[in-house]
Amino acid sequence: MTIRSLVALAWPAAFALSLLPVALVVTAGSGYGRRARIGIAVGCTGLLATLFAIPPLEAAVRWGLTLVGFGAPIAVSVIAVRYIVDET
Amino acid sequence: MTGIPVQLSAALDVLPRWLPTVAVAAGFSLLLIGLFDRLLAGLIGERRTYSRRVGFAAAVSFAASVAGATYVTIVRRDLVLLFALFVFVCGRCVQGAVTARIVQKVLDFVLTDSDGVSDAPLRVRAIDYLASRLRSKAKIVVAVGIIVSYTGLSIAGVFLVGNGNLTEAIRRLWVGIFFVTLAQLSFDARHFAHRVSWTATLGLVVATAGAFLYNPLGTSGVVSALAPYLESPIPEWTRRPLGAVGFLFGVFFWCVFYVRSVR
Repeated sequence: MTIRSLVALAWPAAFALSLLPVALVVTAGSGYGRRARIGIAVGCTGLLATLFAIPPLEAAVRWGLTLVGFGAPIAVSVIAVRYIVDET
Repeated sequence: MTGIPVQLSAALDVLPRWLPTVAVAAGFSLLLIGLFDRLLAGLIGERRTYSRRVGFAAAVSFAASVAGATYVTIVRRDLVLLFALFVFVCGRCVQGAVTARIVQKVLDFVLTDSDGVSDAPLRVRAIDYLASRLRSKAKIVVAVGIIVSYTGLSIAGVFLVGNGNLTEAIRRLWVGIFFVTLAQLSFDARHFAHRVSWTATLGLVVATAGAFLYNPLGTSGVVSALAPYLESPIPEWTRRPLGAVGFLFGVFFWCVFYVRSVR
């Protein structure tokens, strides 16, 4: 098993796992109860299964996340430039 | 007696081949974690169920998914070099903006009058100003001095106690340049790191320095001489322009934000 195949398996899991706490924080803060939490857990697992089962969807999400990956360095440097101006 | 030179040579032996790749990957991951942590805190930080630990865990997980997806895509599509160049341009952006800031400060100093506080002639005030600038730059001067002397010693070690291999010496020079870049960028980062996010800033600095090493644009004057010795030489036409483009973009962004702040 190469690093590439390992990462190809790991990133959808990390993606589904990252949505879980965010969704739980949002719903619990809005007063939703136990059933909502179960729904979120099932939804995240379903998303993970769908990502593994349907390659075109996986490719679409992957490209979306890749764009986020390319955007992140620009975002940080633009924010940094803004603060450099503010500090002046 | 031969033990000491061998140990000295081993201590000065700094030529990890994995450094650029690992620096870009680690820096990129840190950058993503810092950025997403800050974004999540801004988005859902107000909610009473939010805690720093949960937000950080979600940010790490999302950063892992973005980094993993980006890795898979760029490796499959053969875009690794493009990505490294891209990160390098983003880092140069910050340097361009910092340079523009310095130019603006100098212009402010020259163009504004002495406003009655100091009646000293321009020459005296200029010397005072330069002295204060040098004092504020003392740390970076010392850091660069240490790195340069260490690299010099390391290169001398190759010829004095090592095998005198030229490729080896050049590789050590390159690692020295890597650390000088790291020091310079970190020094520039003091202007904004506390506002953006320390993690993201550190990530940007490390990733840029790694990309610089991956693709040595910064010292384009000597690149053509060193190109045969580098692990991943890149096409000639990309070297000079990209460094300049990143720099100019930085100056441009700086101008945009400066004009907005003055209005």
